[in-house]
Amino acid sequence: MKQVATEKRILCLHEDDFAYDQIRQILSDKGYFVYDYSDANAAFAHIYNEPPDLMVVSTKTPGWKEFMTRIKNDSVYKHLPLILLTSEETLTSLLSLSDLSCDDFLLYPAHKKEVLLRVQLRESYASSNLDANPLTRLPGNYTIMATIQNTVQQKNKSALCYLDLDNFKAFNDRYGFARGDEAIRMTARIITNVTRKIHADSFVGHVGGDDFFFIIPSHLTKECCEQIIQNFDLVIPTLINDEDRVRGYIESKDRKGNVQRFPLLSLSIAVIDLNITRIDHPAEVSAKAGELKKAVKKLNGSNYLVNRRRS
Amino acid sequence: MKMEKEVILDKISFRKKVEQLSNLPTLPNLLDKFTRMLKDPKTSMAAFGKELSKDQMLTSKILKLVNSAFYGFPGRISTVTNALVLLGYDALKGLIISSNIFENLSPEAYPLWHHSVTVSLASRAIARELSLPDIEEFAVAGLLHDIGKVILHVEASEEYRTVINQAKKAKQPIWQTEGEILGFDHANIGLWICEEWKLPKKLTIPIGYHHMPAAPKEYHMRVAVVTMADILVRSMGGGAEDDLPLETPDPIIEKQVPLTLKQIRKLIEGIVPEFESLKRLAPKEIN
Amino acid sequence: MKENIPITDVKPGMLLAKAITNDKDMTLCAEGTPLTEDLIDRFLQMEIDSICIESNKEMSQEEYLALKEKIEKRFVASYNSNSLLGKIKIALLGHLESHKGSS
Repeated sequence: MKQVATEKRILCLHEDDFAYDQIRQILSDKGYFVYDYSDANAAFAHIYNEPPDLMVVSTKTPGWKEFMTRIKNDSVYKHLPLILLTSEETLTSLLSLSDLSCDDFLLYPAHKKEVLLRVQLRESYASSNLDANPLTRLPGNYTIMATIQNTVQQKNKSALCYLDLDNFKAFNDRYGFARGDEAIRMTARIITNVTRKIHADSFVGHVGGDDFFFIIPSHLTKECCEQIIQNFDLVIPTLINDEDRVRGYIESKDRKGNVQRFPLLSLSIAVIDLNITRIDHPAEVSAKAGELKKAVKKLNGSNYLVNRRRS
Repeated sequence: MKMEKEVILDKISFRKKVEQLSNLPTLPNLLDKFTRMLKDPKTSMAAFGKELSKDQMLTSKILKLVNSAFYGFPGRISTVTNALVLLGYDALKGLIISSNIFENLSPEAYPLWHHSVTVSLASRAIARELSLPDIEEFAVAGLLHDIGKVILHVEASEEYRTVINQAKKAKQPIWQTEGEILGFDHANIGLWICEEWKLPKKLTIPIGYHHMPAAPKEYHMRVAVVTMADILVRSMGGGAEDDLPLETPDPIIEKQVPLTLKQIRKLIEGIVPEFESLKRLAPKEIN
Repeated sequence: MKENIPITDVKPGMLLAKAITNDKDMTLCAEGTPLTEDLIDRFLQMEIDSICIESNKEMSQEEYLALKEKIEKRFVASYNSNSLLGKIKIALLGHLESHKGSS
């Protein structure tokens, strides 16, 4: 029997017709596992119960537009690659493809070879390219720098927040990198969920390793940081073994190979509120963040620190 | 000796069916409430969490999603509170919107729901009485302990009807009748689905072994608490099926959960008000 | 006797038997508070479905006997009063006894 888990799963939303049958055949022949749906609601349910690797949506299906909007509005699922299957007439009547959050399109009647190539191309894009961090799917350094530049130039009343984990090296040494990755993914989910619930248009990026970056409106800084810390301290204990949780510390070797005690995982956030400190050039940001980071790191447990007005 | 037992559900093919199950239906009145809560932007995640503790279908789906490879925390998350922190509002909304409701609701659907929620309350109360840590995990295990029965009602309603009638006729516990007629019971199904959905072992084992509390190698305490809660609720007349008689519990229960008469009395006093009020939440025509 | 009742059946003058708390477990209305129109309205606005009140409902002799018989029927297995089932049965009967009319 084939192992379903290793097969790439494609979800198709389509009207039953001959053109589609052909496409389906091509994909199944190449070892893809295809889930068929003609009802947009049922397809939507499938995504939440069993997320696919790629989606193909036909514009002949009733409710396809609502389906696309729902996906686009979801912070996690909008990253799933999506190919629109459409006719030339429909395509010309659409204002812009970027509004639909699809990654690519195919025209009816599709050529066999083309279908396969487009699907494979999408897959390789999704797994490598784009500035996204492979572990968290959050935008990386390039996008972060561009966003900082924009925010500083537009003189937005925003707070730039640098978040990292404390004692992450000791945690990794004690439990291994796989659990370290879990801690990173959890942190990413927590930041994204909190910022989006508080302010729908927040930016969240992953600098790399255990370093994250996010932007929120100044007046929401306190609420946002406190909620992130609360959720982090709630969930992270699921990654700590019972015996360590009871003791309250981790034993791990330091750089010289001596066994040392380290506090359990916590986080630090350095906040540069553009409302408080005037910043004219993006380069000033990282220098300021560095200073603040040093101060907040000295505190025990999870903390955040906002820059102060110079008197 | 000639065996003349008719196989009404084939174990291997039913197990396969269970493992391929991707969606579980929700009770209409519960889904209504969630849909109303979604419409109110002021509803907090904590309020959702509280309401979710009464719905074994949505709870199991949330735990399935957060423990899936897609999110990257397989076998890690065992409470709804933690799951919601990691999944976020969007995914919760998606799960609720995409939920379908129980069609052909069987007469046992509401008693089964009532039983699951009260066993959840009782598991939490016992864990608290014994000063155990992480009591929310006990509540979740209690809520989901009969998930196998939900699956039987949804996927094999006719066959399961036969089993329930036979249990009533023979006046014996339902899981014994299931074993005799089907060759497996609802706890086995619970184990299959929990393993397939990669739920943490501390949930999978109490769910899968609540009628065989001495069988597993680990988590004896967790199994014993859920089994004890199940017995307590059934003794109060809160069984999922008609008032079927109680079986003598395995001695391991008393060893793991050494409750005094006074403690049992206190637990009963605590559970009764909720027990009665939950009955009123079910639609009138079924009560 | 404590009893959970739907908010729509709550009448002014009833006594709150269990504190009403918010999501963060902060007490909004303490145990023992006599309920007023005003308070009931506020509970309704908070979308509270049911509350726990102190009820003075007493069980009739018939109700008591019917419930007692049901309990007896559930415990068919043989056991002594020190066993787990024995303790549960005694506790249940004791609970039932305490809610019988005290006339």
